Amino acid sequence: MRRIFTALALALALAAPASLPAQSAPAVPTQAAAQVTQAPTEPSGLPLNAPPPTTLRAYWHVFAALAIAWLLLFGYTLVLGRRFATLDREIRQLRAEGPPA
Amino acid sequence: MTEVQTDSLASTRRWAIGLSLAAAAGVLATLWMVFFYVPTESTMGVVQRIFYVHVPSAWNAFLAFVIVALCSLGYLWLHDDRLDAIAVSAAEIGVIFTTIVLTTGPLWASIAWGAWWVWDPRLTLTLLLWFIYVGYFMLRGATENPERGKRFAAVLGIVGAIDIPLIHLSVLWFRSQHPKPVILKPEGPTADPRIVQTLLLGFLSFTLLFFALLLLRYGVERMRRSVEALRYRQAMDSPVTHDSQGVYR
Repeated sequence: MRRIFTALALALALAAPASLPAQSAPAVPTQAAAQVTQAPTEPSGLPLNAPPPTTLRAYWHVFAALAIAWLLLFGYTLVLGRRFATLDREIRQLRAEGPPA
Repeated sequence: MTEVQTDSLASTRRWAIGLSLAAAAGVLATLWMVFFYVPTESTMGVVQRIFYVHVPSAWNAFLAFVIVALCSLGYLWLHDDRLDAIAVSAAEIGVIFTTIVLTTGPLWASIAWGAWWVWDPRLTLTLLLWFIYVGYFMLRGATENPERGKRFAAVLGIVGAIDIPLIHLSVLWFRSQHPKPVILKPEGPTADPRIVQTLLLGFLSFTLLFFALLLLRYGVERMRRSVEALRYRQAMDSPVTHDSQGVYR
């Protein structure tokens, strides 16, 4: 029993330093933090929360999305058009053949 | 089996061409707005422009599957073959639009979330919707009796539509990474007016495109059934003969 208490006390003593900084975080923002929240600007003068950079990868994704959508829709329309033409031909052929004698 | 009327087919074709032209004009205007009119969204940047294809496609998929459910209900009640033809046509187009949603979404997510796919409730339920309506076609083809297949598929078409309100409400009910509605809100749209205008034009042009495709697909379905009816009639009218091997023809 005494050994268990010793192990528990040792574990608590080891765990305490790790959890202390989180618990003792300042409630009042420091001067540096206050500066960040009050003046969110870059050296260029642009605000920090300006639109994200328009990377080439983002453009690539937009074009890929549009290409996939239009290829699917255009391809489907073509398939439907071909099916329409084939069936139209078949109907004409079957009507021309007429009922067998 | 019924044979399709040539006049009704010509009318369907005329409507499909008219709607296609209107949809093409709308889509071109939407694309112009997406690239030259709408502002870049402040948190996600350029990639947010996928929104104008992704959301109208989702709307069209939902519209398609609601039509499937209503026509399936009508088919089970009235046994009208035309309702089944509309249902199967709408289901096919719904699967196409759901495929667009499921491919454009990950392209957007990979930039916005840093992951192509997450097992978020809305994403998972949308994938489930796609599987349900792919299963709808498999079920139709799996039965030996076509009429039975139509009935089974109609039941699945109705049950599958329950997933639609679940998809819409999942972002409100569960903790979700997917953005919440920005237009369909009780207090009205909160986005920039140019974003709302572009999205509304996208909705309109995609809806016109949906109805153009639906008419075209419905015409094809009626013609397919007409060919089957003509073949069946010819087979019934022809005298049964057999060749030298005893195979009946």
